[in-house]
Amino acid sequence: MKQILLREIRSRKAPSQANLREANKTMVSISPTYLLYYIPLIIAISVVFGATRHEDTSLILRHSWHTARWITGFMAIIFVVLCVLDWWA
Amino acid sequence: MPSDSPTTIAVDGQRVDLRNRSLAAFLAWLVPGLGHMYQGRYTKGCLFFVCILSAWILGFAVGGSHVVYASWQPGDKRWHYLLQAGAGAVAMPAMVQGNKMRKFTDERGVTRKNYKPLWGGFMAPPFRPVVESEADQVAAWYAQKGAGYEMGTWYTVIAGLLNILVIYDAYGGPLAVPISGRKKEKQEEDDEDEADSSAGNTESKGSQSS
Repeated sequence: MKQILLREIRSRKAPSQANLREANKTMVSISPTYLLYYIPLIIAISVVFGATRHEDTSLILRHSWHTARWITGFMAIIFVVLCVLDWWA
Repeated sequence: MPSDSPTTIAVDGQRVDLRNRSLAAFLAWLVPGLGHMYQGRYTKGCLFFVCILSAWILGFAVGGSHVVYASWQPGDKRWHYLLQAGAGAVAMPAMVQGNKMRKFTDERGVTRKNYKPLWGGFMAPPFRPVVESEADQVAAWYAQKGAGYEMGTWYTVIAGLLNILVIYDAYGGPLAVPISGRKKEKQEEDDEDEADSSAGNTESKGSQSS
């Protein structure tokens, strides 16, 4: 049985470069709705970060805004780098 | 508010009485924000309560009732629970379920047939054995919820981690401002001092000349 399975696996054709490229593209292009998961998370994280560093409400909100922008910018840079790598590779 | 109490700290121009720090930290772990309410920091308490429990509930909404469970078995070492437990009492049903599962697991690591989880299986660990790459109950949860199960797990993990910051805040007051922020503040203070000293020098020079 094992021999038959091994023979079957060996007989399979390796995927072509074009197919691999297509598969990689599919992996990078995620559904935009997945990005919605990010919104409540960034709000919760940045507000808790701000509130654990200040007592004054206006300072908490300012710090939260700063944190949210920083994380979003960082993620955006990573996203762009991945897109460039995907396009280039 | 007692101003000279040893538990009183001054932050952002406000005096905060941390009261019994250990009790506040315990309450903050038990229910996110409760420790701050005990200290009279109601706004922060409400913020923590809403933010952390929203992330927690959202995790269950997208991932189902099994995103949090306690299990430390070969093939199913649920390390996520160590972080999820930071959210406090809301993670405790998993301990009860995990303990029940432990009692109903035989020496070979297989769940006994007469096992029935509590509360309709809410936060119950999967039937054992759990073997990676096999069609066990964990694989079924992934199949049912897809990426939602993974996302739900991370939402609850992050909620637990955030509550650790909240516990620290209840125990010792706000965390230090990051070094970059401190540098900026120090620079502003130095500028102010320099301006004051230069104004003082001008005044003294003026008085000498007169």
